[in-house]
Amino acid sequence: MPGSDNPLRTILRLARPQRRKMAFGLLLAIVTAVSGLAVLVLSGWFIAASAVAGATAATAVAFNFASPSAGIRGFAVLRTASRYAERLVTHDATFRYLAGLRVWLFRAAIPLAPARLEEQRGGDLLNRMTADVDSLDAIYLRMIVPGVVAVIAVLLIGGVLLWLDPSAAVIAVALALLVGIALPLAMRRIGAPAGQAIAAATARLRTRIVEGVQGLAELKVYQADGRHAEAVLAENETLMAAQRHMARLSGISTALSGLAGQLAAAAILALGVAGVIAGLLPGPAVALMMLGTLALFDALVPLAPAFQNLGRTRTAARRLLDFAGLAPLVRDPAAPAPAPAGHALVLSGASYRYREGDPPALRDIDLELAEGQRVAVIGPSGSGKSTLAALILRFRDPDAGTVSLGGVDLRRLPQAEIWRRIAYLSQRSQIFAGTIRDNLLIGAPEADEARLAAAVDAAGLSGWVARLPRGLDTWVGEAGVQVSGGQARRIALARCVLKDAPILVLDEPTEGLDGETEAQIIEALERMTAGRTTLVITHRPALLRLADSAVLMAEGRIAVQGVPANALDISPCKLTPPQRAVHRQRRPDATASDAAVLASFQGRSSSRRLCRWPST
Amino acid sequence: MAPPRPSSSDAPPSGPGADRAAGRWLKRQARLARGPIALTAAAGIAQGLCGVAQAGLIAWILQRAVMEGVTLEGVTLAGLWPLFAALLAAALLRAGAAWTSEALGAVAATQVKTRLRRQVLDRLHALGPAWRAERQTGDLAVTLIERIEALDGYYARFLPQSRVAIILPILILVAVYPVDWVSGVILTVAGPFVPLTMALIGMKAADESRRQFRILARMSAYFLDRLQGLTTLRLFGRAEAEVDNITQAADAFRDGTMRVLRIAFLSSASLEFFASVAVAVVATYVGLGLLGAIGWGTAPGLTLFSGLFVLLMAPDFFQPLRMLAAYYHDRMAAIGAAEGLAEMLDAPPEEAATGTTPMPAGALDIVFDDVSVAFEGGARSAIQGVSLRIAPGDHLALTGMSGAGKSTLLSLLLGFRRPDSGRILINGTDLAAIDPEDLRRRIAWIGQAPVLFHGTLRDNIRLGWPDADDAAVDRAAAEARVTEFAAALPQGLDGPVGERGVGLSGGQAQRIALARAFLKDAPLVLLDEPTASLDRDTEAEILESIRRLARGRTILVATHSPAAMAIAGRRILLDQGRVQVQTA
Repeated sequence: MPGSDNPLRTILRLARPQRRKMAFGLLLAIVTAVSGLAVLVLSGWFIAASAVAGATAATAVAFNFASPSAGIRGFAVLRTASRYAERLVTHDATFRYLAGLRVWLFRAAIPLAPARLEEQRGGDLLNRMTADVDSLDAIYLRMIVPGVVAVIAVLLIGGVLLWLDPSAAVIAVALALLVGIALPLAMRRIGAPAGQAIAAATARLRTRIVEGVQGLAELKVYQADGRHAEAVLAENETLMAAQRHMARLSGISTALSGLAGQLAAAAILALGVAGVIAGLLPGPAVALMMLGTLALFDALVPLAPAFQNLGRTRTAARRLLDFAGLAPLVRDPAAPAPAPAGHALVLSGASYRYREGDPPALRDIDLELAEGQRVAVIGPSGSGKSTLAALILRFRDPDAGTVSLGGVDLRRLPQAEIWRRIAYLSQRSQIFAGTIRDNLLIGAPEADEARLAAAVDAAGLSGWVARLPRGLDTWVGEAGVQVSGGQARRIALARCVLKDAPILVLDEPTEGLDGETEAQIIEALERMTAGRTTLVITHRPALLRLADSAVLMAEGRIAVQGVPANALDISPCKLTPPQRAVHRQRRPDATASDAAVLASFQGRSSSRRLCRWPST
Repeated sequence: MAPPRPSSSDAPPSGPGADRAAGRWLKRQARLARGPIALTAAAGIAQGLCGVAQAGLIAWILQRAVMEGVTLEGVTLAGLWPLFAALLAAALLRAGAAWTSEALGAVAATQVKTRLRRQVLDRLHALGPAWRAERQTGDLAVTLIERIEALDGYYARFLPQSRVAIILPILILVAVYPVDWVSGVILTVAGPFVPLTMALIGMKAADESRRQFRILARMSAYFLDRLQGLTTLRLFGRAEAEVDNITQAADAFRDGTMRVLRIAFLSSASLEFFASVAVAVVATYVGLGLLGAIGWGTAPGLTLFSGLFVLLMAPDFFQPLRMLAAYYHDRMAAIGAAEGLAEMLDAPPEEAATGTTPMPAGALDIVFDDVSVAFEGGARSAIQGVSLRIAPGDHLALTGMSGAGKSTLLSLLLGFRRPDSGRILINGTDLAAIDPEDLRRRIAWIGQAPVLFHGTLRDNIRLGWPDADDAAVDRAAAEARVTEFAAALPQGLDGPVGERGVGLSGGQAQRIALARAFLKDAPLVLLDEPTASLDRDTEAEILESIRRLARGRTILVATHSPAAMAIAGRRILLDQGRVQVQTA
């Protein structure tokens, strides 16, 4: 899709559900245009004919006054009514289309989370869902509908002129084509860069504004608010200059199309007058021809600005398609394996690197979590612990080796199937704008009051919730009551409790919390991990209580396999040779190279820090 | 998850009163571009006058050719050339006026928008982080971008056209009366109906339009929220279910847009109806008059010229109002946008921004004297009766549960909040009296998750002291150990960092914040949970740098981390806003 040469055509295909409504709107637009032409032409002819008829008493009596004037009134009413209906129908169809596009975009974002979505800027993404989508209303409303109306007008008026005076028809149609085709094409070419400049400048301005709002505290403290305002205003000035440029261009096109219409009318007036003087044309026909020509050009006026904005519309469409066309890092299998019965997790030979040329984040990892086993992963930052979690959660697929769940390769399972079985608690607790209840129900949409209360209690939230005047119905998130880091973590924990999944992945679940909160969360987790396959990623000794054994990671490798978790209560520096032997016994294939890794690891600073861990 | 719904803060001030207030506000802002707006209107009027001239010429040519050509001899095409030349000249003038009015309209609109953006930014900066914390980022972005952009059509088109719509019809009447006063009377009577109907319909429209802006702001905030939480939603199998909510939010927006437009379309349909009736009456009068069927008024004297001229002028008489109606949605959009803008520009600042006394010089001796801050609803952390002294060079840790009031205490010192009772004295001067800019010049602050701005690492460090030369930035980068990880980046310190510091780890972002503080070289450093989002190793490294930063400065660090507390010489335990324990 992103490779398509015409982004507008591609994005317009998504309007399929609205095609009946759009066709009906087009029909109404044609009725409006035809009746508008009829009113103008008929009334011009009527006045001129009356004048000619009235010139002699005999013709005045014979003149049929009633039928043309009734026609004029009828068409005038029809025009008013059908224009109202046309606007309703075309706009409704358009906005239904745009609403569909927003949903389509959100759907496209789903498979990109989290790995690909992290690459996108928040403000940029928002811009796509709002401003970019909005600017696509131009395709149908400002290009297709006026385009069709213009074609009808050219055919109709051209036909009438041809019947009355072929040379007038040639002049009018030639100028009409100039205004209807050449001018829009020229404006499109001239306007495209201006349109792109406006879209790009708007996006940059938004990025600047969003960072300024988010970083307001920094800006104030460092008295950089004035400078940041200047940067915002500089982006603003770029946008304003682009808008002024665009207005000057569209002014040229308005002026030229108006001028062409008036030139055509004048030329046809001259031809008509010559015809009348030569006795070839009846007088009233001249008025009809001239007014018809003016009406024809009125119908062409909207074309040029629409094509001038084409660049902006096309850029917006391209940006939407680019986003929707991003390939997710992880895809569901076409033919998924049957869901596994067990919940053992096994990594064998798993390696991963984030980018070509980067050092591998994980190298040849062999790790086994038997069903119900609780394993802690420790190691310095950058040692690959979080990447390990990302592989187990199938946020990413290993470059080499496999990760399996219940004996089935994760790549053969749908992601939803994997996640149904895993509760994941990390140091990032996502709180959604909504009530506390809304936030909890994400964990189990069908949970009743009692289950919610139990989860709130298990997460140690009951005291806080009880103090809130509106309890679980308190609005939290960006615009609501601000929740502290500890409260957010507990809400996330309660969600995991509600999910009641057989596997737990805990990535620094108590990071950034005070000691008391940490103790409470660990207590809750201890109850939760019992009997569940658990992977705990941590630096904190207190969390080792949640694990039966631990592995030590360094530089993307497992440096020490299967240390009993309680063995880490004593400093590894004091590990005696027999104890080391015990550790190695858990991994009979341990080789000299493992010993070397261990030795080198113990020489590192983080190992020394490990030595300083308190024994409680 | 619930679909978006009104939060408590958006009780809609509605009704014609609010509409008029918003309308007045919009008119007041026109002073920001008085000249361009007046010139845009003048160009519009000139365009209309060219139209009058053209109508007269066309009618005259037809009169000569059709009537006199039929009844008199000697009319030739060549004899009509001067009239055709005048017709061409009028067409050229009209085209020029059309271009001018469009170009000047954009000048007017961009001028107003630029000035308003500056005002809103200044306002946001004056209201400060405490005010901002209660609002959604997406919402404020909508105010600064969409709301202000929504004013474009109002100043570029609607406002100039509203002047054209008053003046041009009068000028057209002035042209019509001498030619045919009966038609003039018909137009004069029909004219006022149009704005009257439009105003009646417009009141309802403005209400809907304001509502629509609230829906847009809510939709934006909702989308951002859900996009940011998409991973969590997926993990809980709720992403597909969320599609329904997104659909609802998008549909609510569509529905709101259509409500506004339905009214706008009704208003222009009613205008078209009145115009059609008036034109039909004029046409009937002229037609019957020309046929000799009317024996009174100007009818007996009607010619093809006067009849055709009047008939051509009749739609032109309504044209300015029609264009005004076409631009009416510009006004409605602007009225809707104005509400949020006016609200922000008129919001009372929470900041203690009144002080003008310069910050006392020399070492800082800070005293909290029975300071209390209360928050409505009690959901956020208040502080109660805090008294403490921070001597120059003190290294103080603020500890306590989340929500004990640590951050509130820091924001008091930064002048982002003012105490409800009690005083904070700096070298004996009440903080409330000190110029907040001057106050913050002497304070460095490091938060939990530093925001990195679009630009290079160097730009981000230089935030601490904009005039610093490269050598000073390099020194600060080295002290904060930014240099170490920057060396691994392809462009080093001159490499770009993005929104929210994409591409940098939490520890790296925090080092940049530290480098800012080193560069700023302020005597008082406030740290709000500086290591909360870091792992233990990184924390230790950051703390080492903080220790270096602390030398010879007063340090106040709010933290849970025992390691971070260890850098302080003194600890203060806050519990529910009260000082519980002070340990030396």
